[in-house]
Amino acid sequence: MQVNKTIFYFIIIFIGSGCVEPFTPDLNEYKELLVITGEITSQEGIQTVNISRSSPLSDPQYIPEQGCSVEVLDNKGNHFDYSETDPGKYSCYIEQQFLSIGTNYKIKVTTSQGKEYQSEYDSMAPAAPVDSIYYKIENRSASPTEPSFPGIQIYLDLKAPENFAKNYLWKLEETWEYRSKYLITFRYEDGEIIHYEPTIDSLWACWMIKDIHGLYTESTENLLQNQKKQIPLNFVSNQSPRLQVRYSLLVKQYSLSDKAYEYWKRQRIETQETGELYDSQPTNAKGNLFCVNNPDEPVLGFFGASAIAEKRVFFDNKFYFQIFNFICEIDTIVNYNDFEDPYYMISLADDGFGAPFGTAREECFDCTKRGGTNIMPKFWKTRNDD
Amino acid sequence: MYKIFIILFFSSFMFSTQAQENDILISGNFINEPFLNFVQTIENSYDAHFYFNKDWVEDITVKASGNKLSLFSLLKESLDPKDIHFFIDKNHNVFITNTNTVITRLPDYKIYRNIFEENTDEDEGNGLTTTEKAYIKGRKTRQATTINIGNPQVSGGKKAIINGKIREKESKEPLLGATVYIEEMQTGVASDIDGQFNMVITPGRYTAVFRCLGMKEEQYFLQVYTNGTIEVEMEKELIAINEVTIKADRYHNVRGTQMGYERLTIKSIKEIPVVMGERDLLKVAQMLPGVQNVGEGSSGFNIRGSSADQNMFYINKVPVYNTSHLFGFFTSFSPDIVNDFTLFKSNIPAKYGGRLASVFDITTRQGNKTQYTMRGGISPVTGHIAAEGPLIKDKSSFSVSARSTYSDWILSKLKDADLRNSNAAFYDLAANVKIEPGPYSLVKVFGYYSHDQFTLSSTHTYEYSNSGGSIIWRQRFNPSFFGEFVSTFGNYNFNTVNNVNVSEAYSHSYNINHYEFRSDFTLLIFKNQNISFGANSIYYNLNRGYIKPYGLESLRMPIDLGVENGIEGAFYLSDEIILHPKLTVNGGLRYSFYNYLGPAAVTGYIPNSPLNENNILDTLYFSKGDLVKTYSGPEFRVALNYLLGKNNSIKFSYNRIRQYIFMLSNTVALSPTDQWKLSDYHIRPPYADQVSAGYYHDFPNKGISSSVEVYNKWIYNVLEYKDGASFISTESIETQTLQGDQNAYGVEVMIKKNTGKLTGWLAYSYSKSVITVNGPLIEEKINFGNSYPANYDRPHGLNLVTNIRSNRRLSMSANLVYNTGRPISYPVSVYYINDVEYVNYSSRNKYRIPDYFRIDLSINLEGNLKSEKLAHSYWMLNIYNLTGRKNAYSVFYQTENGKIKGYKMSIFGQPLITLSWNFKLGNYASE
Repeated sequence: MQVNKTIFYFIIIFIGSGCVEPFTPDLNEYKELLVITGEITSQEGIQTVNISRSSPLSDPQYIPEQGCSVEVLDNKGNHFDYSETDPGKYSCYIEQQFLSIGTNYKIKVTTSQGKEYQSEYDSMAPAAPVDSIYYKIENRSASPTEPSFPGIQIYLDLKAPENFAKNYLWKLEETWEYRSKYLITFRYEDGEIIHYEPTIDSLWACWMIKDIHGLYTESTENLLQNQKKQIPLNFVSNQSPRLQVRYSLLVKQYSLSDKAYEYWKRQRIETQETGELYDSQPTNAKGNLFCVNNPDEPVLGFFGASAIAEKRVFFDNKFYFQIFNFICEIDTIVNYNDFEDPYYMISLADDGFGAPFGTAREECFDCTKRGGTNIMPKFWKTRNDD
Repeated sequence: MYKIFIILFFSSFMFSTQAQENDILISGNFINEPFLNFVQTIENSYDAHFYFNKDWVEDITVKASGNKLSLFSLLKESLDPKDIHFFIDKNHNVFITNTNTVITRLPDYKIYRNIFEENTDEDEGNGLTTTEKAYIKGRKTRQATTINIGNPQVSGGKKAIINGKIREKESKEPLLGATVYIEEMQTGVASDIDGQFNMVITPGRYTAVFRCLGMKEEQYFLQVYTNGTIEVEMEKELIAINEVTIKADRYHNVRGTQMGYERLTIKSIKEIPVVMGERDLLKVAQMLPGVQNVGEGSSGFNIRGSSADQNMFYINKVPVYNTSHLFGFFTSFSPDIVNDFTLFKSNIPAKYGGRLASVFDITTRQGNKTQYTMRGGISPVTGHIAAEGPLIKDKSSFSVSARSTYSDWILSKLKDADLRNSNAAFYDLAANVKIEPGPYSLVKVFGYYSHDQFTLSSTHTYEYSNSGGSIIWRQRFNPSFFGEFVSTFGNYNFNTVNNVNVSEAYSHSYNINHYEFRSDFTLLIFKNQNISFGANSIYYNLNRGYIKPYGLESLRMPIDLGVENGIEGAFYLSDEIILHPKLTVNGGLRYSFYNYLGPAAVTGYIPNSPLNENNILDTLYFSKGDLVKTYSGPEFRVALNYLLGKNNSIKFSYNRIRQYIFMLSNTVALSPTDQWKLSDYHIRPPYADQVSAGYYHDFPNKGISSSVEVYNKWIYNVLEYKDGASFISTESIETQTLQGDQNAYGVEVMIKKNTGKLTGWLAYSYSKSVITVNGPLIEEKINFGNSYPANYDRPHGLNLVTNIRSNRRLSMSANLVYNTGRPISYPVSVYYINDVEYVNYSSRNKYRIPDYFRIDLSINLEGNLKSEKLAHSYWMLNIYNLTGRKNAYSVFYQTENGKIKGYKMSIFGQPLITLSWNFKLGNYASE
């Protein structure tokens, strides 16, 4: 039984002393197992499968399994040969005609040692279009040992027609626009002060795109209708610049078979819903893969077939809470040679022009130095586009 | 003092001739003549004078007719049953004394010299001669006199049955666990909850020693003629409380056939440190060997490696299905009304059954029969109060208690919005009435209610309550045959609302009713035998409830989890025989049976396939009252005790028990939504065999008793749950469960010191508990069919409980607790899916969370010791987890930003200091 974490916090407050702290048990046991993950989707294009080996808990790393021969078969007699494009990453371009709802797919992998692995057939169920995505302002903590901060909890409503899949998994990609702390007005280069026009230059606004590493899966299995409201997706706290200007989320809604949902649900329980007062003993998620040569050998991962529906949403900074600001300390320039040439400067004068000048870290002027790109993504809409 | 003895000396000299010599022969016809009239007649007709208090003889009548009647015999006949003593002197003065016997003989020095030789003479140095001192000593013991039992006229009988009753002198409350030790026979018996005891003995003269915790030891000569009654009143002893304890326990420890038996009174645990300042018998029970629980602040016991649902809790015979308040931080019985509990964990007597691991028999205070009194207290979380007193003086009494928490008030002061929107409240009430309609019968009526309610940030609501009542009627049909009839009822129900997701929100109500009737008889017709037999039957009626959509937006699919009915019954016969002064055997047979009753719809599955919804074959319908499935079988109970010497013995026992009801719980700790469920068409009732052997040794001079017990328990058909089992998704629980075998074994060592300034115990237990679920089909295996440690397998447990009493007002206690951490499956490897880390767990329960260690301290300060005062109070300062060790409650893993991280959760991560205050009316010694 899962009980909201509040019980625990409730008890902590009630008796005034509970606590959670990081803990690493001393374990020597380790078994290297083959991991096959991937899915075949309803979208024409490059389909990929990743094959790797598990690593010890004390030294987690991605160990690709190279040199496998990989093929995907459907129940209509077609088979698709995959080729290794990156170490452990096997891909194949599959045309739309072979990707249809109701078709069953399975994978067959032969490792370089000649061991053969297969999955059970997984059926591609129709994915309903993505319904509304919205947020609520909440307080949450990123981990059990950290305090909670305000932010936006994004929710999704599932509203699927009855003949569509009942189980879904969502993959999220976030994009946010952010700004440099200071607009570049001067630049010191080769002993010269270059003046920039005080217009929004190309190093002031940037965009960052990231995959969200979370597992979001839900089902309407216990419900009367194929609908579910307020399915929580990611939480964006005020501790990053994500919400500073405009935040966008691309939601890819994958349909899942019952077997696949059972697998992902178990993974969700074991990696996200732990640490409750009434936990049950952890168990491994049971995938659909097996070793043909040795049925007793556990194989990790899941190979599934999913239809995809997509939706992108934008959220503007209209939040009452304070948003983390990139910290920039201004050094007043006394001697121009005190700083490594070239560097950006701003005027500290009352009129905003002329000496004294100040400078700061490059990231305070150049947004691309913070990891993003200053080329506006094609899908980006400005506030005026809405 | 000297003067008193001189007076005593002279007055007793006057009475120093044999009573019978002064007998008067009378004639007359008295048919149920009131005693007062009888006295008048005698005084008028003979030269006799009666001295007595009218109250004593109010309802006594005299029945005799004829010539030359012996006044002595007549008075004896009339007054003896009322326990009224008398004496006729040579001037034909008849002195009637109530409970005190008039001393009529000079002491016999020889006998008593031994008894008192260790005592120092208080009056030493005041100029007495040795002879005089010896004489005074003799006088003292003469206060313990001969009690005549039975009819002296009848002699030469082979055996006599003595029915006795032991009471506290002041309140007249019966004393439980008082012992009667017959020195000549080196045997004894203990009194039961109503202060009663019975023994079969060859007529003759005996020295009987009466002992009881907190009471002055009493010594009497018993002159046994025939069957008879005896009533002994004991006085409280303030100083030597603990010195008496050990003597009471010694009987059980070495001489009784009972193994794995523990009894604790609330008085004896008064000073033991507790969490949150609440005295709690069941928390202290966890300090006993072989008793554990899965984690701090969680409810439920694991006894000798058994799951928590294998324990039966009775409070005054009322079955209690959930014994916890507030997730398990408190026990749902108020400390003010609980008197003691008895725990059977090894050879469970044949009269009990239905639970594989243990029986907790909790009894409440009986109520003061002579005066009204009150007690109560406050701790940081609760306030509690109780009152008791006579309904009709000396005939009936009552006691009531109430306890409640003010936690809501605390929560409303908190800053966190989620917590401010939470609330938690609990309370419990109990009431008890005891009536003695006549000398041979006793009726007790008890009612109990407990309620818990908590709302957590408007997403979860829990509410649960226990209620129950019992009527206990004890009757002595004749001196060798007693019966007890119990009619009892218990109800447990919970309501829960889960509002985490609006579409999935649901409410669920669960309800179980337990109706039980039992009759137990004791027969004492053979010498050295104690036969008991009886029967009980239980009717279970439970409604697993409806899963209903909650709120307007909920789309939750309603599910009816079903109604269940079952009847459990049993007959038993057991006999405890003293085969030889050194060898006692207790043999019992219990036959239990169980019917699962309709109405029911039973799902049939395709043979040789896993029980799941894909393999449904048909449905069998049963109408109301139909026998859906019957299970039954004998349960043998054997125990024997062989006395090796005066202070040591070995014991052996074998037990079989069947259990027809179990709890659906797939969490490590018991949760407030765990459902009780009956064995049914598919789920077979579990049963267990247990063998135990033990060695018991007392060191009376040092006040130490010790024992070592080993046991092995095999449990069959034990219930385990499939991975990810859900108990609110289907009525067909067989699709969520598997049945397997369990093997639990271990050693328990207990060393207890009950005398001196330092008292306490040291308990060590080693206990293993291993489960194997290896069905024929792949789906019917857990852990690939390999055995694995049970969730509550915690091999090493060490408990040290100590109490140092520096004076009567101040005492200090300390506990030390060590336990092996509970088993857990740890991740042993990491793998990646879409750049996110996932873990692969080890085989089931292969590892353990860190070991548990804790030290507690408490200081108990009593109010002043004046005897004349209105109320007495005491303060208790508790420091729980003195070292502040962050004991792991659980270890868990979570993925954050694609990285897996390990955490340890502790409930009490720092010392918890509480101050509580308790009071009672009366003085320090008041009960």
